Amino acid sequence: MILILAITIGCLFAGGFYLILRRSLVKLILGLILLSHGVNLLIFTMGDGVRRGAPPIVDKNGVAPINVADPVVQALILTAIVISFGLTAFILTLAYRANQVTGSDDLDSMQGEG
Amino acid sequence: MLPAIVLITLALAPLGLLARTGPRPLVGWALALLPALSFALLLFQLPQVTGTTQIREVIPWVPTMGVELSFALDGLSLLFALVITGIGTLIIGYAGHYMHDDPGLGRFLLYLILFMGAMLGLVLAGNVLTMFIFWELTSVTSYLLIGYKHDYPGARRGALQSLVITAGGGLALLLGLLILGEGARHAGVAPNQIYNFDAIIAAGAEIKAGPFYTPALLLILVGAFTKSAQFPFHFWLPGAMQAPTPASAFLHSATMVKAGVYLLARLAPGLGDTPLWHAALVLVGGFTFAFGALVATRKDDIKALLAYTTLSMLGGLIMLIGLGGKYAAEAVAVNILAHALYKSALFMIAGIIDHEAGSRDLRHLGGLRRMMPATAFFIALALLSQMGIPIFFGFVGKELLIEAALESLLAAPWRYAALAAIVIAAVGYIIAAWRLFKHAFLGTSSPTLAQRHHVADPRGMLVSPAIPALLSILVPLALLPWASQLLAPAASVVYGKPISFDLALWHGFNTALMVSSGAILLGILLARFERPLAALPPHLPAWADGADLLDRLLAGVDRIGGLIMGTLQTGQLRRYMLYNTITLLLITGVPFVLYVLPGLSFITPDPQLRIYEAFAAALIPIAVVAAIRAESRLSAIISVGVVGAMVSLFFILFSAPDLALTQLLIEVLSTVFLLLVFSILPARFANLSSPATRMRDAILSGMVGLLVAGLVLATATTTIFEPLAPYYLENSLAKGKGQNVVNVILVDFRGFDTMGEVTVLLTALLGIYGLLRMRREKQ
Amino acid sequence: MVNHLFLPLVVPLISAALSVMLGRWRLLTRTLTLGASLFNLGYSGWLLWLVSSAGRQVTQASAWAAPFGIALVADLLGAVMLFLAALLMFCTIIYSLLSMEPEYEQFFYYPLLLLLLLGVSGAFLTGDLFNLYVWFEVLLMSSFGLVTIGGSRAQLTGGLKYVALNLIGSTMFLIGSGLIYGLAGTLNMAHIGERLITQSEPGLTTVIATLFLFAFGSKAALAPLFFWLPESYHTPPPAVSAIFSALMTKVGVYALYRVFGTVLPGELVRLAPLILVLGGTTMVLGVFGALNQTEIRRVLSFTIISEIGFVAMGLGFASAAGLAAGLLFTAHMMIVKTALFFLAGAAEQVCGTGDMRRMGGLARREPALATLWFLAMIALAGIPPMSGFFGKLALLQAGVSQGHYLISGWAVLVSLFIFLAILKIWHEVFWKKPVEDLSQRPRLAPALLIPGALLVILSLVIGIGAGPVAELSTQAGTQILDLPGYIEATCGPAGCDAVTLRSH
Repeated sequence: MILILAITIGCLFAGGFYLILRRSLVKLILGLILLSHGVNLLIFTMGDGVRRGAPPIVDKNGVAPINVADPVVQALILTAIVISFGLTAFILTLAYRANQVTGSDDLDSMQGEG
Repeated sequence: MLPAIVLITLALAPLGLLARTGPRPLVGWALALLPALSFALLLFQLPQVTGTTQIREVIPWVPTMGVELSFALDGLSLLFALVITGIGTLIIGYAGHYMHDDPGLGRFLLYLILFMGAMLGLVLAGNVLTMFIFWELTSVTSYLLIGYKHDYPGARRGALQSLVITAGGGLALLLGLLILGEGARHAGVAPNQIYNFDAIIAAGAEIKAGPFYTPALLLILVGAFTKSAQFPFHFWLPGAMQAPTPASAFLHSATMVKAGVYLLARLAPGLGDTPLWHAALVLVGGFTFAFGALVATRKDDIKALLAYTTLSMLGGLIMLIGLGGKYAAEAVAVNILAHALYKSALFMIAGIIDHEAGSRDLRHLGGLRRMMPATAFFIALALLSQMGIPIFFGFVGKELLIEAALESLLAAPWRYAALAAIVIAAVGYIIAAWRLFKHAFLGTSSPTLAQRHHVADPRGMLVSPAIPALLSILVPLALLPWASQLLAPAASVVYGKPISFDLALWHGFNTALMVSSGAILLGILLARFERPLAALPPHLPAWADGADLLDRLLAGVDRIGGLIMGTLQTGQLRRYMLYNTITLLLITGVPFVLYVLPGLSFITPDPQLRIYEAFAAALIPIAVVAAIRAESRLSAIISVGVVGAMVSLFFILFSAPDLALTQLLIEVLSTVFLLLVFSILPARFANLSSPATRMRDAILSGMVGLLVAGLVLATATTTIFEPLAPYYLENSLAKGKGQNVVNVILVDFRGFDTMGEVTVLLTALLGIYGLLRMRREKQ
Repeated sequence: MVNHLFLPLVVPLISAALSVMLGRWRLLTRTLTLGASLFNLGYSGWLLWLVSSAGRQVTQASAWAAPFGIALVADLLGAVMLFLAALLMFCTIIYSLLSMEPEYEQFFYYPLLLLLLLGVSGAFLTGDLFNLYVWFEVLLMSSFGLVTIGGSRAQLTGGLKYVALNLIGSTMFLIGSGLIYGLAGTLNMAHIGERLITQSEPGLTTVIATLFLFAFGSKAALAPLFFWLPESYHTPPPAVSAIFSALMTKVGVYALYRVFGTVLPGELVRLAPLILVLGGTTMVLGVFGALNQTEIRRVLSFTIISEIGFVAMGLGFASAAGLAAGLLFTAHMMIVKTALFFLAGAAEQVCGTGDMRRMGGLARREPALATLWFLAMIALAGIPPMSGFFGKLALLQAGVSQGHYLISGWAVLVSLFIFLAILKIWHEVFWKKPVEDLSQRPRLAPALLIPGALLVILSLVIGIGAGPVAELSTQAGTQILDLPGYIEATCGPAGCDAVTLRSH
């Protein structure tokens, strides 16, 4: 499964980088979103193995299920998801405003003067 | 006492601002008491400074860097300190007269006194880094003085050029001194002593034998040559003549420009006497000596003429240090004093001419001897000393110069070359001096000059130049024993061993006298033809003017820099992203390929792999490609949404229900925002880049994808250390009072992260609010 | 272990939250902001004294023992940076109170400043890699808000590049942290150091370290990742430029020093040549940019980049002396560059423009401003006795004593051109005759010069009192490289693995 996940993450990064190299403002933002998905999955695979059907929830006696998933990476990803949501919301607003003043989707036209 | 002299002078510099008010000349002379007092204090030390013995006082400053306020007084520093304070006294008094109607006099005197303190620190420093600190301060104050009349572009240019050359040289010097210190360390000097002049000189032989000597010396020479205006760095000195004349007389003839000479003279016993030393100093010094004198004979601006004779004489001094030997050491000491006396007098009188006659251009002057007889008398004294006419101080100096060349231990070609330089310079000085006197004081007044009223000897202003001018004749006639007492210790320091000598005017009929008389005769002969000589070729082509070359060099650096940065900094985000991508591939990709890729295992058997997992995984690349290839905005957004949904699915499949929930929620929110925000944009993407660009980007981003995939694979298959996860699972309920371990981690174990995360959200809200509201206000 | 290290985080956070809620009472907001920054200044001053006399201070957040909880660790590097950040923030707030148009306050200008202070303080104190990421995001997010405040075209377009490029850096940081967890199984920096120091061969750790080099290098504005800086720094109001120049790149520098100096010293040695090359390139590209600008604040922005090259050089020497020198240089440039931005703001106010071609005559018109500028300028150029000289001297001494002649000579050459670039401002803005008639312009309020004057005096004091300052930076340099000491402070004398073993 690691190999499949690795390939998937690689695809997300490749796609993300391709999109941020474009001139379009929309594509830039979509690229950043893809990258954040890629990062989240990457952290996910960094846990103590990728486990099926064993979420890190302990029973009433505090005993974890056998072959349980790594809770640390999940906590990290939760934090990262929320943070990247804040950033995405901000950059979206910024893009909206930049687009208003320049009247274009073309990043090359986003210069200070003119 | 030594630190007090330096630091009090620096601290009292703001007193100069007093000159804004009150009767200017009087305030000037009152301020002159400050250096006069130091002069007197230093003079009292004379009996204790014999041979190479020192008075040393140290105040610790930055012990970790070997910087200390270490001051030492020996013969050489005493000579310089007396020149600085003595001439400084005269100059400050003179400035009060010269600039009596200048509203900026206060500022001028502030800079001047600051400079004086810095220069005193430079010559009294017993530690190379301490010396360097004051060295830099003299460069800066010199810059301020040259740029004093900064409304004029010429003054700004002169100031900038002098600073570029001297500060640039200063940086080379600093590096040289540090390498020298390293040399001293390797020569076995105690680590806290490696920057001490004495320790360096004592370890000279070992340093010279080591690998640090050559780079250190070359860099130090750059520093010394730039400061002392040696060819090819000489041009800043004529440019510095933009400074008000009191500053030129003080900094750019008597004191600051001698700092390079001072440093080399001080280092000579330790670092001298090597082929590199001889070659560099004799060649550069000797050439500048002759070259400066020759150029001086062609100058019409009195200050420019004096500037060239100054840099010439500095060359002479450096040549002497290069020649080495006892006579050279004596000649250095004598010529430093003789030159300081006559040159400061000449500059101050040049200022008087400018002040009274309204011009310092020889072509516009003439007949001043009738209007200003006393001035004519004193300038004549100073000029005669410069010309090296017998019974003047300059003559004593020149005799010793010739003696030093004749008696030097260097090979014959060096000696003859030095002798030739001396003769050329001596002849040049005579022609230049004659030109100056003839065109300014003899003949008839020019029409413009004749119309000027009140051209007369300015009594108050003449006091200052009169003293050194008179000394130029009084010293050799009456004060030689006293001068010997001052100069012998200085010469001893340069020589490295105690010398005692009695200067005399008359040495009998020896070779030196013959050479010197011959030079004088030749000079007088040629002086008759100064006008045709000045018109003779070769004239330096315009492009070879050092100042213009420097301007062009700096402009060239600007242009190249502009070209490079203009190419790199296009203002296009995708260019910057491209740099980032390439940088990532280089700095991370290369080590990955070298160190990790060879050991990478691609086989990760997973018996539990389900077909729907593979299917979900396959959907992600498909959605990514769809997002990339989408022609309409909507389909691109939907494709990215599919990616998000698939990521959530992964989270569900692999035991992360909380993540899946959050991810899904955020995904929905993001998509709504995306649709809202981009609703104002055209529905379809324009095709903005060429196929070649797209291909390049596809290759680069593909490589990034491979790199990240490889890293994931490598890391996930490497288990060296046990992760912390079990701890949280074990302690979640017991210590964290919660069954959902992820939640417990978030709110408890790593609650700090969550606090930051919430802060980010809050901050984003503030930013978004600001972005949206500000616009509404503007509209 | 102490329990007060969270104070410099909690106080600005609460003040910021209160300011947002009480936004309509301006006086209250301003007082809160000033009070919080004053608290941080006082606290961090005391902490610096404490750390320099009693060694590292550690607080385990919520009392969870490291490496399980998040440890806050204050060593000299962190304490010095914390103190400088608080000081410069305090000066910026004063400058803002004197110069900022009141309308910005409706857009949470002061809370954003406090959140920025929170972010940098958190970054300087945390002993946890992922937590460092979180604080980075806090400070980035507030800087995003600040860089776009006012919403002019230049700000929006420059801000967009700033945000996008910084997000790439953050992404790499996050990847690096994730991979580190995957490799070392922990996020506590002391623990990471303890575990990964065993990697004696270049390998996966090296590759992950390069990700940090990329991420922090991008924040610190190393070549060729610095382009976000000159696109954005000059666009917001001068007070914002000033605090950006004071803090933003320095957090990147801090992270480089912390992660490569303390956590991954083995990788520092391996990557040192690369860091030197990047540093050397940064120096020259920065100064090339600076030489060709016509706007004061753009010149200053580019010189920041160039100086970052010097700081990277200190890191690249990979020695206690190099790190100490780099830290000293960083402290100097934070103070002096902030002062220059304050003074540039004042000059712009007098002339009504920041375009040097249209400025001039300030030496005669505003002698106090000119004097301060001159002193700050020679400080930047490294002329003694200002602070810059000792920073430069320490760097060169470290370079020469380790035999790095080439880069040392290169640095010397570059520093001459930095001087030239800034002299150009002096000539154009101060010495040149005024181009436009300034007689109608309002006089400069002398109070506006106070923050700049404070910092210029501080630079002079650092120069004159360089003995103790250099002593402190030398200690700090040794401490940065002292991984065992860092581990002992964070996890106890037996190390972090011992704690994890005990927990089972």
